[in-house]
Amino acid sequence: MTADLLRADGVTLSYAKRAVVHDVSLELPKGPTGVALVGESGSGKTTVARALLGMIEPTSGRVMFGEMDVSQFSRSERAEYRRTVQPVFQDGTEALDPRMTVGKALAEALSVSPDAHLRGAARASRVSELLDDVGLDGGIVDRLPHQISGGQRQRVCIARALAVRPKVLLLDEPTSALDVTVQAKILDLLRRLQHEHSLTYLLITHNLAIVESLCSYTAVMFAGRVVEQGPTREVLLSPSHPYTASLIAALPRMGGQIPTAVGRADVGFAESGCSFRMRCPIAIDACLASPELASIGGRHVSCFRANDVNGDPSIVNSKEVTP
Amino acid sequence: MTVDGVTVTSPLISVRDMRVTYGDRLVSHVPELDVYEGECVALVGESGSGKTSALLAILGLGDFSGATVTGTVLINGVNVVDAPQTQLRRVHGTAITLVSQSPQAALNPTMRLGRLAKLSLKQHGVRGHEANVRIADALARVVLPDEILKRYPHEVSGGQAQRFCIALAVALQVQCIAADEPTSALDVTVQAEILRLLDELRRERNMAMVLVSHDLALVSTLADRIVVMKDGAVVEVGSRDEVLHSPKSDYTRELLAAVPVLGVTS
Repeated sequence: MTADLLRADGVTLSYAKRAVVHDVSLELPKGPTGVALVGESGSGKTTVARALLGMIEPTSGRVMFGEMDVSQFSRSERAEYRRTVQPVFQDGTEALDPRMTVGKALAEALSVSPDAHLRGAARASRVSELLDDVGLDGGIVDRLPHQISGGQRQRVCIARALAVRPKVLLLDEPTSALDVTVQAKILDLLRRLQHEHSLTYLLITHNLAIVESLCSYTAVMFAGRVVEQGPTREVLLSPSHPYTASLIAALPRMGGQIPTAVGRADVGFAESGCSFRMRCPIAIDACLASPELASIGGRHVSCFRANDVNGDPSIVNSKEVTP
Repeated sequence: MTVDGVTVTSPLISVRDMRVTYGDRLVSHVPELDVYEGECVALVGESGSGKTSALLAILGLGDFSGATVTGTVLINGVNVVDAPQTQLRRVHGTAITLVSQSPQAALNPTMRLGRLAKLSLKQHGVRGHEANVRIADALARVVLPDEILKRYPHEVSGGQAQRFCIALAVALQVQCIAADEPTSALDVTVQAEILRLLDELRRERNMAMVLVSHDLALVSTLADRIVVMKDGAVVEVGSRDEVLHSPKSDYTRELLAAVPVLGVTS
């Protein structure tokens, strides 16, 4: 089979018969590498990540851990898989127990790790190794989460995730609660850890500018579907889907013009045919049918006009008629 | 004021030695700042820099959070720092109004948007037919359907709620919008729409804007002048180009370097 660590295979998720994620397939290879899921609120990126993490079960399709179907796991297999795939969330304040010191939080994680047998000095040295890994001073172990800064809290969350020696880290907006100078330091840290520990990152973010530094592969989601996926540099620097192009056009650039708003985001999405067609500046009659996620060069795109976009984000500024 | 296309050079907002303190802790100090009609001035900085405290003090709302504000903030000749409530309310309806970070939290959840709009205008003496006309015009300007007036705040999207808040400012015909992180709760595509809208209003109606944001890239697309703040103090003031291309302070340089840019892997 494949050498993928974790794979979503045609995953569909429905709440009350309404599908919020449609037929998503995504592969997380062995590290060091990263896969980014980008798209706006409600596009389904966090839901896909939760399915990969085993927190929710797909309505149809499978999540594969190596060659095994996650839904068929025994208790012990599930525990092993949970150790391998660790989440780091947006807000360290919510992710950490407010009454537990940093030292206790790490000790708790160690107790379910492959290092659970360590005692006394050996355990203390593992804790200081973890703190060292994330650039924290040993003195922090006696502090409570509210006594440290947001950047330090996020480092503690990363150390806690590393404590169980995972292979995959799910990073759900890991820097969006942080100041930009702190964000830069956390990104440096994540980049270093990715290589030192051969980690695979699944990065969920709305901030396209941080994707490239951590992830070589990117999937763009819109209305519960992947509309474009492929190597990050190709997808984000020369998009083939008009939605990807509109995301890029909307990014404010230092010293640049006011970013371009494409269509109106509050028109929602179409229930049939191409879900983006109501917002799409270059939609044509053909878009009343559903486009397949088709392979174009090294990537997959679901758009009848992908060849016309062809890496030119400015196409979304065109004034072609929408149906 | 503009006479025959020539701007008369008296500032709309004039700040002098404004200090915001909690107890004996100084959280924000702006020595001098003038904002002219049609101008966008941005206050940029990280958490704890004092940018929001400064904005609230400029609005005359600094003392609502238990802070003490000293110095002068002249808006249309009224010093809002120590103006009585009645005077302050008049300033808010005519000169300056706040557009906040979380538009849904800014709107009373128990009222439909239509009632909210009418109440807001009534507070400033606009009633009946005049109010209806102004609301309809403002909604058309921000491109929201009239039907939205029947909805409650939780029934509209974040972007629509922010458009509605901006529509209220338009309906009140204020001279200045004070915007505190107006798009940081919104998706990037919606953010682009709101930024365009704010910029258009500024050009069409010569509206001034005081924009607070942590996002230097965002600010750089909209602001004429940028005030960089850190730990309660102003570390740099300059035109957009001065701050971006020849920053004087180390901190500004650090901020500029920290902003991730698409297509440039560090």
